[in-house]
Amino acid sequence: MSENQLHILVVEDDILSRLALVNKLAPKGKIAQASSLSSAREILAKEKIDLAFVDLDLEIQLAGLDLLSELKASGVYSIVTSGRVEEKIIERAYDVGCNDYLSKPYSSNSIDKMFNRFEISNKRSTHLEKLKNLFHTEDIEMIDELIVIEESLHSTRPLLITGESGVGKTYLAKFIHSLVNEHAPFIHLNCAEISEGLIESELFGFKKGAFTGAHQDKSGLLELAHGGILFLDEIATLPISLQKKLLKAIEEKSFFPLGSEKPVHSNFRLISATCENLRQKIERGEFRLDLFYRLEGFNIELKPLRKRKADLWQLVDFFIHKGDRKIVFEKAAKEKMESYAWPGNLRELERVVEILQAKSAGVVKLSDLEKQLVSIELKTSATEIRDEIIAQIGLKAYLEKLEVEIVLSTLAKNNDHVRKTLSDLKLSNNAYYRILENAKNESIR
Amino acid sequence: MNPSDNESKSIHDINSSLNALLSSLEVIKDEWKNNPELINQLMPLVLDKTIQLKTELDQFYQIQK
Repeated sequence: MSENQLHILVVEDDILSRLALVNKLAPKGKIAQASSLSSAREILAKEKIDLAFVDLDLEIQLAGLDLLSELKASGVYSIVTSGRVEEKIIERAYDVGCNDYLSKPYSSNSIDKMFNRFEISNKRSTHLEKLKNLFHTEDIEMIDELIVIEESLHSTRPLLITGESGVGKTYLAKFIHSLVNEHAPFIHLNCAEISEGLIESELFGFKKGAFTGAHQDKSGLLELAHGGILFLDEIATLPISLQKKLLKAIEEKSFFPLGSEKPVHSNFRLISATCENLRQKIERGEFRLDLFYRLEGFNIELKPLRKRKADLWQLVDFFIHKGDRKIVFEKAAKEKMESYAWPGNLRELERVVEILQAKSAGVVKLSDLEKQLVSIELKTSATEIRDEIIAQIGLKAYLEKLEVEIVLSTLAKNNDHVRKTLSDLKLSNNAYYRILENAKNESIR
Repeated sequence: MNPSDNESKSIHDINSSLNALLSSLEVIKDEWKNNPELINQLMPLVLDKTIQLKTELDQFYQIQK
């Protein structure tokens, strides 16, 4: 017998029902059977049982109720099988600890359904533990979110992950894929990284000759995601013109590639992520409400690191262990780590730990740490310089200069990808071109 | 036992017998070719259970009168 085999107990005084149930359950595990409360107790004392089917009326009426509380105390998942239909008895059975109640007469399909519910419940605690380990968290609110993730694993409904940049949204989407079915496709598109002109052909694909340069047919990401997961990152930046087409594809599970009159069928699970507030975008008319409702199903909000400071050192330990070199933090450095806001969240923390592991002495000093906390340095120097410049050129001119500098540096950082820049800075097209106009005027001056 | 308890007990017995018959007939349907020993074990029990069900139904009708 394999150690992983399920141990199932069938407690039933009617020999015909017992034989039938044992026969039905035989392929699912090792079966122990009892016709009375006393024999069930003997088995429980000797064997490890995972799952029990319990008839309520045994040698004494409702004797099964006593057994249910004992099963619960032993951590056994119990399913009552009873011809009792009185609500007060069903309520008592749940109160004393049964997990499911199956009314007699039942069909063999009902047994399968109950068994599936047991398997889901069985996997649930394992998954939640994995998720807690993945996020290195003991934060109650974070664990509540992880429970939503766990529940989402047993559904095909869409999943919407929100949270600031760097909190682990992509990491989570990939992990969900690995838990659900790692052999199914996982198609990832960051909507902000691709130009508005290209995004439609990327998502829906095209036929040869659909547009200039379409030299051959190309499958879209929606088609490639068939049977698996389509992960649309930065969904808030999806052009409104495409949102309706995506909505239709999600609802109908089919779509037309560019230049094609033949629909393509694709059954995928959608996971979307955003760091923006979609409700605000809806109010501004930048995001369709009907698409928002379609993206929602299971909503998960990953907290920024500054709001889960209790997890900080657990995370630091995790990142330190990813490298070979062990480092420790002196008291002042520890305090700085704890008071710092970590605007880049886990991504920033990982980077800082990596650099400290590579560059600092074994004991990290406050000065070693502060060199890596870029935003603190900028904030300090900017504060000092800011007042001086404003005094010289005035607030309006200073703000214009600042806008230009930020837009141009972000644009350069994004290799001149305008859409990504707009998304990073949460900037409208109009504002962007106004700032560029200011930049041009400034260079003329 | 008050009348309501009698009725509940009677419904419970009928449900249990129906369940025994339904689930054993499902087994017989699936296993009659491959597992004749099991069928031999089940058939007399099915017969007994059918007679028992008949008695239980008669009792239920009496309670209803």
